[in-house]
Amino acid sequence: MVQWKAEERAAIQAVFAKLDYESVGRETLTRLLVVYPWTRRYFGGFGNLFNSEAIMANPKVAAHGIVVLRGLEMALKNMDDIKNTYASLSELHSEKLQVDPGNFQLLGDCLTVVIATRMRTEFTPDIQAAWQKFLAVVVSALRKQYN
Amino acid sequence: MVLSAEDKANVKAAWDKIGGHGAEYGAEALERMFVSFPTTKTYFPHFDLSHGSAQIQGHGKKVAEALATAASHLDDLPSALSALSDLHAHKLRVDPVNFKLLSHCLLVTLA
Repeated sequence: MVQWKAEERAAIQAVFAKLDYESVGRETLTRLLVVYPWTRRYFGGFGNLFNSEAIMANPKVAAHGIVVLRGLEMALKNMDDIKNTYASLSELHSEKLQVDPGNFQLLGDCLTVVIATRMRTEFTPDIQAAWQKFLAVVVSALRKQYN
Repeated sequence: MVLSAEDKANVKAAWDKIGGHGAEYGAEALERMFVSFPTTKTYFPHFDLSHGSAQIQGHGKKVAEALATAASHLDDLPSALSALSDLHAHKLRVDPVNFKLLSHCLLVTLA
């Protein structure tokens, strides 16, 4: 089981406290789809994803950004048992959506970059470290049901 | 992987924004990497890795200089960086997954 130090919990709470789900969610997903274009394969029903302007303006992308952050919030609220909290999400992504799990890492990286632009120097190396650990646990939990 | 003309323009624009801060950002990226991804410290047992250490500053400068070389040789990156690649592969024997970790931390620093 993952052990969290008090400072790590505090750091992760601090990051979430400042998150504007709408703005951060939209920008994170936009970056994923622009920087790693193969990820568009998972969003066939989203309409126009042909260039960065279209993606940025796409309302389905914006809506889905919020869905993703709400999903992460579940992990925040259950930090001591992320693995079980994510069991059905993992199954969804592997069985139904058939997402290559390498992409979870990429999404996490894009989110981290957006958070850094929002929090700037407040996103200290120590806070980043706690955040990266949180993301690693989340990604690992999402990979659990793949076989 | 090939860089398009637009890619090269974007890289140049980003590099210009960095201005003279390359060494400072290089050092910060290294520090972030050592703190977030402690396994990377195993390649620097001979370094003082505490915050603000002279060795991290010095190494940040080296990283920045290498990036400057890369940024000015976008049309022939493989040959411009071939000596560095040899160094990291044959002498330092760094697992290439770590390059992604440093570049991620560089992105976070720039962000």
